[in-house]
This record gives sequence, structure tokens and C-alpha cells, in this order.
Amino acid sequence: MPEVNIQHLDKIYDGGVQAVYDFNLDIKDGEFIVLVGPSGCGKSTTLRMVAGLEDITKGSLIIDGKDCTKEPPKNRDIAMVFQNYALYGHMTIYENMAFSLTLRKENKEIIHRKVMAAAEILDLKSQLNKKPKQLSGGQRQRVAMGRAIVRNPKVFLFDEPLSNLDAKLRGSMRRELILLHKKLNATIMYVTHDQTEALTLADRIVCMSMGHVQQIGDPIELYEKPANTFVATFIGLPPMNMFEGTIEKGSFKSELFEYPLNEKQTGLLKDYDGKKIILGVRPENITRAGHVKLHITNNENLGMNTLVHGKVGGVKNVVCKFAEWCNYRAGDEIEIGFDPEMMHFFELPTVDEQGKEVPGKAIR
Amino acid sequence: MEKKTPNQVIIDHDIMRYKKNKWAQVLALLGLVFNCLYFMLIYAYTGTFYYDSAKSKTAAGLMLIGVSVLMTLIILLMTFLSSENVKNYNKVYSYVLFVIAGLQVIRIFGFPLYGLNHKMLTVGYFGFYPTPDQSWVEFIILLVYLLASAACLIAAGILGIIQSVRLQKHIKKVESGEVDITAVVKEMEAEDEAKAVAAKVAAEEALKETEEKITASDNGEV
Repeated sequence: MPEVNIQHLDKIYDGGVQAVYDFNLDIKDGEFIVLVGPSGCGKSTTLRMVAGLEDITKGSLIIDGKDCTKEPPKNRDIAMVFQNYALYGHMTIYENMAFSLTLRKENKEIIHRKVMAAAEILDLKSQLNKKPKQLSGGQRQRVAMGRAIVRNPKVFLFDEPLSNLDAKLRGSMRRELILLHKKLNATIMYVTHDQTEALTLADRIVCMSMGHVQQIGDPIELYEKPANTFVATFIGLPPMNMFEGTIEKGSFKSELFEYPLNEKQTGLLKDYDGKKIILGVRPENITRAGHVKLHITNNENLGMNTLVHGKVGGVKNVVCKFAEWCNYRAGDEIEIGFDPEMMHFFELPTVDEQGKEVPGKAIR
Repeated sequence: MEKKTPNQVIIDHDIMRYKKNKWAQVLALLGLVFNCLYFMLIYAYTGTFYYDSAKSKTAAGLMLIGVSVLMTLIILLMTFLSSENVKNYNKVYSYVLFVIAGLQVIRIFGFPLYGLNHKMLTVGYFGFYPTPDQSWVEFIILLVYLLASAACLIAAGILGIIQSVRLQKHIKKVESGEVDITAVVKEMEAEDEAKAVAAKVAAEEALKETEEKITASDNGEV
């Protein structure tokens, strides 16, 4: 039985604005699910509906076999960690961590044992007598997690918990979160707009846009086999380069260049002959051997690799990621090609009845 | 009440590392409240003692009221300071509380007894206006305030000493490695788990037994 079962979840606000459309997800026991997407895509709303902080307009939410659709938050046995930590400034770290248990009127011995166990896991034992303002951002976030851990909930919900931290701390906290998940074997729902967090933390990623789920899958699946143009451009940094063109006689023809397709690709695209499609290539799958002319505008050496920005045909911006150290100058022209195994093809985006753009589906 | 296991006692002591000695603080503050009630009453005797002495403008008279006010302020301040320190398990301030309690007892023999002997405790209190012969009524009120204040301060001091000694001993044990809190917590978790399993097994056995009895009863064996 799945630990969390979300079926046909909709969220429509009082003004008629729909934030989430038909959200379906089965979360297994101990699974780390990451909801990723740009701001306003409905990921936090979904999480808040699971937490009980937002009413569910339509659909059902089942947590460990119990229908929690209409249950108040306190009866759902979940714990939420917020972006701004939500710690009580006048309380010590110990008191902050013990707070939810104190409210439940738990025995003080049990409270102490749980707080000490959580502090041990999170390496906070030496900080327990301090006030939140005496701690760093990362430590405060650990306290917020500790407060969730002591409750021993069925599900942990994280709403962009690392967004307030600097890049270095975010990296170390990500590693700590992975270790914490392994230690607790907890079921986690985690919301972020940072794709690096999503890719490194998740067992499965739910990629959302405009309230719709675009794709659910393993991180590698989303990266290597994006379901549509939105996922292809959202996951991956720098984003995937997209070229619009037509399939003609075994070639991809755009206004900017013509690219020959191999046998496998021709077979895949046989139904699209003469039709417009989109070709997608990740920057790291661009090679320095080919016949597409790239007019370089910028060369960024990052140490272990180089990001080369340029234009194809004088108009289309293209980013290449070369594993070598390059020293191109603005104005240089090079010839590039695409790794045939890593070329992605998509249908053109369409527009639905409500006038919203629907991303183009992957052709497989 | 069930006797606590050694591990439970350790946990009880360990809690003190992160929780303040609130009971000692509350008792000390209660002593302070009784002291306030006491001085609010004695300074109401406008027509007598302090004010008469002050009115006479003799150096002794002026000194008397000054010393009285100063002493009250010092006691208030010291009591508050001590309450904050006993809250943090500072043993020294428990002794300060004992000294203040002693002063409160000594004060009984100052103005309250003088007022009783000279039948001047007639200020009126909660609508009751005693005659000079009824001075003993307000004397008893003053006596209760001072004794209650002293009792609270002594109780706070005793509690402060007991808890701070316990905490000091516990910290020594933790620092010397004699007690490992993480290990104690884990041991207790394991004990709880074992108890839960035993309870589950016992419940299952009881259920099985009941089912067997019902089956036997249905078969007419009983």
C-alpha cells in the first residue's frame, strides 16, 4: 500500500483561479519525492493541500490508508518544514524542538529522549541551549527539521527549505538531507524551484508547469528522456538548445542550418516527414566536429569545463558545454555538431481551448 | 507511583541541562510579591510612625524612613536578582535567598511589633477599619506577609541548592564519560520496543486463548 495516494487533486481559489489541475501521485513508503517547477506552477499549493493548509477543491488524499481529504492538519500525522524556518525566537533550540510535543502534553522524559535523539542525528547537541538568532542559517534549518523529526510523522513536507541559504551551505545541506533521508527512511515530499536540488535529492521528480504535472519520473529519466519541451528546457543547466525545423528527406532542415539524420532517427521521424518539429540538444551533447556554424559571443571557462555562448545563423542563441578548457574570443566562428544518440525531437507546442500553451510532446 | 529506573533518573537529571529551574524562580518571585504586599501596607500608615518621625524633621526620623525605603528596595532587587540566578542553577544565590528570608523574619520585630505595642495599626484594609485596640488584626496580616515571603524564599533556596547539586553531579558524570546520554536514550528506546513487542505477543496470545475457548464452547467441550 502506498504511504501517500493523491488522486485527481484540483485547487480552485475563491476568485475562480485554478492553481492545480488533476494532480495524481502515489508515493511509496520511504520515497523522496521532489516537486519542481517555476514560480506559480502550483507545487507549493499542492504541498499545502497535502499538509491541510489549503482546502482540497476536488480529488482525494489518502495517507497510509486513511482518507485525509477533509481532515484538519493536526490529524494528518505529517510535519512541515518551511523556507523561513518558523522558529520561535524567544525559545532555546531545545524548547523549539520540544514545542510540538509539549503542546501534545507528552511526558517530559519522552520529550527529552526524542529531542536528544533528533539532536544527535542533526548534530545539534552542542547548540541546544542557544537561541535561534545565535545560529547560522544552515543550523536554523536543521533545527526546523529537528522539530519535524521529533514528531515522528508519517510524511515530511519540505517547502523550499534551502532557498534562504547561500550556495555553499545549500550544497552541504543537500548532502545532509540525503543522509537524513537514509537514516530515517522517511517518506518525504519536497518542493523546490532549484533543479539541482531536485536532481540530487529525489527518488522521483514531479515536474510541474501552470498547475499541470508535466512529467513524473526518476531524475535521470527526466534528464535523458524529457516528456515535452517544457521539461526539456526546465531540467538541465544550461537549458537544452531548441531548434524549430522540418523533416525532409532524412534531414532536419531549419532556416539556420540543415542537419542529416541517421537511420534510426529517420525511422523514428517517418510520420513527421514534411512536418515541423523541434530538435533539442543539451549543451554538453554538442561536439566541436560538425558543419553547423556557430558565431561565438562569449567564452566562460569554469575550470573543469567551458561554456561557449554563440549564435547560429546570426539569430539563434546556442550554448555549448565543452569538457575542455577553451579560449575562444567573441567574433570567432567554429563548426559544431550534435551527438546523434542524444538528440531529442519534439512536436510543436499547441494551444488548448483556454488559450494556454501546451508544450510539445517528445517524439519517441 | 512506580519507582524510576536508573536510566529514567539520568534522563530526569539531563533535562536540567536544557530546562531552567522554574519552580525555584516562581517561589522566589512569590516571596517578592508577599514582600510588596507587606511594604504597600506599612507605608499606608500615613498618620503614624514613619511619617510622624519624618514630620518631626529630626535627623533620626528622616533617617528611619530613608533606611526603611532603602532596605525595601535592596530586598526587592536582591530577591529578583536571586530568582533569575536560581533559575539558572546558581547555588550561591540560594544562600542569598536564605539571608533575605532571615531579614524578613527580623523585620517582624521592627515596625509591625512596634505598631502593635503602640496600638497604631489602624489604617484600614479591604473596608475594615480597626480601632486602636484591634491593632492585632493588621499585625497578623503583616506577620503573614513577612512569614509567607520568608517561607517562599527558603523553599526557593532549598530547591535551588538541591537541583544545582544534582545538575553539577550529572554534568561531571557526563563530562567524565561515566554517563553517555546517547547510549541511555538508545537503551531506553530498545527497552520500549521490547515492551511493545511483549505487549503485542501477550495480546495475540490472549486473543488466541479466547478464540480457542469460544471454539471449545461451540463444540460443547465446556
